[in-house]
Amino acid sequence: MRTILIVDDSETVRSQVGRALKEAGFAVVQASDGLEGLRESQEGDFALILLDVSMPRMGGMELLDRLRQEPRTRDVPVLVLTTEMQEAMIQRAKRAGAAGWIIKPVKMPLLVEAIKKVARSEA
Amino acid sequence: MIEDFELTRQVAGLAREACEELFQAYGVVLDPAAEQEQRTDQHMLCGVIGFVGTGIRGSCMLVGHDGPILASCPEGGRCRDWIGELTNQLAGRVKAKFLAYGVEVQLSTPVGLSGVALRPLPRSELGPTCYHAHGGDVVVWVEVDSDPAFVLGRTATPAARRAEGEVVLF
Repeated sequence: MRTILIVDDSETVRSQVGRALKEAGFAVVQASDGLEGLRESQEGDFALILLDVSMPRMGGMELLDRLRQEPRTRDVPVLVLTTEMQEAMIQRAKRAGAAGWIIKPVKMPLLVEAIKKVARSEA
Repeated sequence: MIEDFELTRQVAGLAREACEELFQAYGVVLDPAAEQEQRTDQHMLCGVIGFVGTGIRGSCMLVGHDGPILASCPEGGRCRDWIGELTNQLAGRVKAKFLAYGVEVQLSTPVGLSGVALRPLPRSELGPTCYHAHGGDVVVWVEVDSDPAFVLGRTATPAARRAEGEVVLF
């Protein structure tokens, strides 16, 4: 079963997204900030990492940069899930190697469809 | 930094639009109400978030009775967490509206409060925006300071605005 790492400081969002992904056949691991997300990312084999931008301790853009530097997660697709709509940030995430950008409030069917499209098949 | 009444009124308008759009996105209908009509004897949840940009800074407050706030909460959500997330999403929308005027602001971490009869204490005659909703009331409020030379402008640029729920795959 493919596993998705959800990194978001909102327990409600993690729970909501996690439930939808489990129903779609994925396993889910959760982290509540960027630092915890980085640690989790280096301990599992993830088909995709879903991360928020504004989080305590380490934000999502810094986490994205760190994920791209680590051999274990260099090639793991990353989707950014955030309230941010700023085009410059979206383009920055693209340059940093993110696979996509999703704007909250999340429309769950669209999110699940995007994850199915982007997630690695072998993890 | 000073309080510019006209600027605060403009930003309050942005917050009002953002609040109505946000609750609509979660299926909660807000009807405009006068402040004195608000009920005060039920439990309330409140989130406050700060914003700062070049020449401008302020705070945005969202407060409401449990009914409409929790009606917007996804299944399984917890109220302490949700009021912070909802306030963050409100401020994110205000931030996007600022961007349409070419103003970039950064947001602080939201703080949550709970209690009864929670209300902002306006420092000027500009009061909060109040709504009735099923199960209670909702209030949104902003307080803004700016450099004397700061101007928000009269016309927003509609271009390049992303939509909520939009998925952008690279």
